[in-house]
Amino acid sequence: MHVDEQSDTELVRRFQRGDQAAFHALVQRFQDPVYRLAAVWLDDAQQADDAVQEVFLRSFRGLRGFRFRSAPFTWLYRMTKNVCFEINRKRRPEALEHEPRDTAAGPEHLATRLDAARRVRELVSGLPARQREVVLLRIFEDLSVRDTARAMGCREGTVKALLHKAMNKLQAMTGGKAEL
Amino acid sequence: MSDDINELRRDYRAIEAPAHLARRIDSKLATQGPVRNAIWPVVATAAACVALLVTLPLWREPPAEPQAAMPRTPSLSVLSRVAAVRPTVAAPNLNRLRSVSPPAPPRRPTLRPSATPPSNDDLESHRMEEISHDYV
Repeated sequence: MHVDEQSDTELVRRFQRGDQAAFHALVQRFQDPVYRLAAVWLDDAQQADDAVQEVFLRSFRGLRGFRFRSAPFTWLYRMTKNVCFEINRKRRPEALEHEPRDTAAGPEHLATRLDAARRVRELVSGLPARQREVVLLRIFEDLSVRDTARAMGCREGTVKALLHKAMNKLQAMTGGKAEL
Repeated sequence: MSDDINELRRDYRAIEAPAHLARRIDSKLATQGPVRNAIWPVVATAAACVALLVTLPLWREPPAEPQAAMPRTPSLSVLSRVAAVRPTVAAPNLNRLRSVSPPAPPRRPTLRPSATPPSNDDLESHRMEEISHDYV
């Protein structure tokens, strides 16, 4: 079976058995969602790159002890959140004033690539932290209620309640445009 | 969900990580060293445990002497029975007691009369002095 067709869990098991190609497959599979989340949380393309790199370096070490109590992506999501919060904590105040920069891509590419992340950030910025997280995972990352609950470390009922409140609030903010 | 959020969702999900990122991660991982098989530590631990279990009987000390059973504390009823037993010392015979003569009482000291009886003058004068002193 090709690595692209294998499940996340199977790839992690192969990596734990010493197959480095499985880890490359995991990077290819999850680098986009991890990057998207980092772009929303960090508002800086360069720092989003650094965050993604840090997340995969840590997961390279941590996945050896992964016990499959949750899906690999929910585990990666938690790590991404932690890394982004650490970067935000260390970030100098003046860095927040700078425009997003990316040394590897042209400005046009960067604008289109991160414009959606910026709009998502603006949309959810008026929500409380938990509701923001639910909207990001459930609406934008398209995680199931179960996976969202596991990623957030809460019950499925809590996810549903938070999502309901968040959508009501978004509806109020966007003038009745947001609906479940 | 509204069209706006749907559109935003489509745009958001179109965000891709830059192509150089995977290469950057690969080059960083190359400096991390080879992937160690996660099974080896488990195997090594199991082998060490087996070796320990095999060699443990060799190190075992000879079985200690069974300790003498602790003397049981006698019950109170037993103790009361023991206390009731009289000592087996022969009682003195009454006749023998009668035949025993009592020890002689100590002799009275004999006072020898002195040649000159002591005069009481000093004693009298001393007593008078005390009396007069008390009344002063």
